[in-house]
Amino acid sequence: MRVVVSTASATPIYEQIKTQVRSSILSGEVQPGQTLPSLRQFAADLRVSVITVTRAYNDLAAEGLVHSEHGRGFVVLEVEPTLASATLKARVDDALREALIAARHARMSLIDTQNRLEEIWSEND
Amino acid sequence: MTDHVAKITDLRVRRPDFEVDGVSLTLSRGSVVGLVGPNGAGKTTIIRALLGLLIPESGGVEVFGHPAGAPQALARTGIVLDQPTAAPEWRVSSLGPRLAPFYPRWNRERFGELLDRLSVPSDQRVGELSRGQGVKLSLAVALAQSPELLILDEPSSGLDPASRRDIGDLIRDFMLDPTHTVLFSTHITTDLDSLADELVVLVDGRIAYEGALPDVAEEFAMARGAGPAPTAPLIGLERSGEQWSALIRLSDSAAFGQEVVIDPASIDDIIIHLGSEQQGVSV
Repeated sequence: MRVVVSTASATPIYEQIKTQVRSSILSGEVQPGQTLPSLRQFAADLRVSVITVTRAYNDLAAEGLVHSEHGRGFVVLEVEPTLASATLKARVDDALREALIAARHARMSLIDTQNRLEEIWSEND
Repeated sequence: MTDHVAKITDLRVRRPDFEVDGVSLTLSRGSVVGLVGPNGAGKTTIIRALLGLLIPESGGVEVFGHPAGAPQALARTGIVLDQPTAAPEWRVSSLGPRLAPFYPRWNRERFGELLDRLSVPSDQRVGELSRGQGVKLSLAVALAQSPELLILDEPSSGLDPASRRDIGDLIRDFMLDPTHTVLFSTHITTDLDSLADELVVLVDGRIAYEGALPDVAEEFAMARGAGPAPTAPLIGLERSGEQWSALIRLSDSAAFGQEVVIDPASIDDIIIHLGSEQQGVSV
């Protein structure tokens, strides 16, 4: 599993780790039953604090992608198709929430934000 | 039962130039705690109290269930202080045999490995080492004692980036063992980002903020604007001409009008503004 974190990115490091580990799981690169790198070893390898990796792993556990097993660490669970789709939808929700925070900071109204979303949507068509 | 390795309860220390005024702090096993704050805020005092190097006016300091400074506590604690751990005329190569008798859990092989890994020149005298080499030597001495708790007073100040990274790597290696705990003071906030699980901000001898490091971003933000400052709650208001800036609680951000820019707060922002707020500099 390859994870690369950027310390210059505006995205918090634990989010970067979470996103990349999640992609590895959803793409099947990491198989169900395999364990994720240990919290402390991964933190040392990535040169980040232990709590950063802990946050990322706990979020993945809350999403139902991994399970914390005493003595084994975080074990990758079987990804059900419904779960995979729910997870992807949750990612959309998260991204939208983040966009809305930015929109509020930018004092954009709901209508402004919807219009902007449509503009960006059509850019990608 | 809470699993803590050290506990400070309502510590009070008075000195002519400053005081520590009612600090309580618990170090949980397995955590890395970063202690930050302006010079003179009491960081070194707290570290010295944990090592039993000063007698407080009042309050309790307990390390591994023993009073601070007790041999049973010190035997499990590795220390990196500002001053070198050994006499300046001693050669680095002679330190192992000289120091080993004082530490029950001295690991001779490990000490040699650490000196190699950190490239501390073994033929030099302690007093001839650069600041960076001196800190690395202190860290090697501390880690060779096979400690469970590592306490470092500004380990990275005055070091070049490569040395800071070497020291960070060694601390992260130390933390591979989940029973190990680290407390370090610093002025360098990238050290915190890459090492610390918990942040303690000291201002004027008191704890101004304490929390998990990632929570800081959800707790505070920076507000900036021009003209008269709003009446909403501002922490450590600063002015420069027409411009003003202040730290705010993120939960208060809705109270600001359109003309106020709200950005994420860095750890530096938090230290500076909590510091100026408590010192009464803000108007």
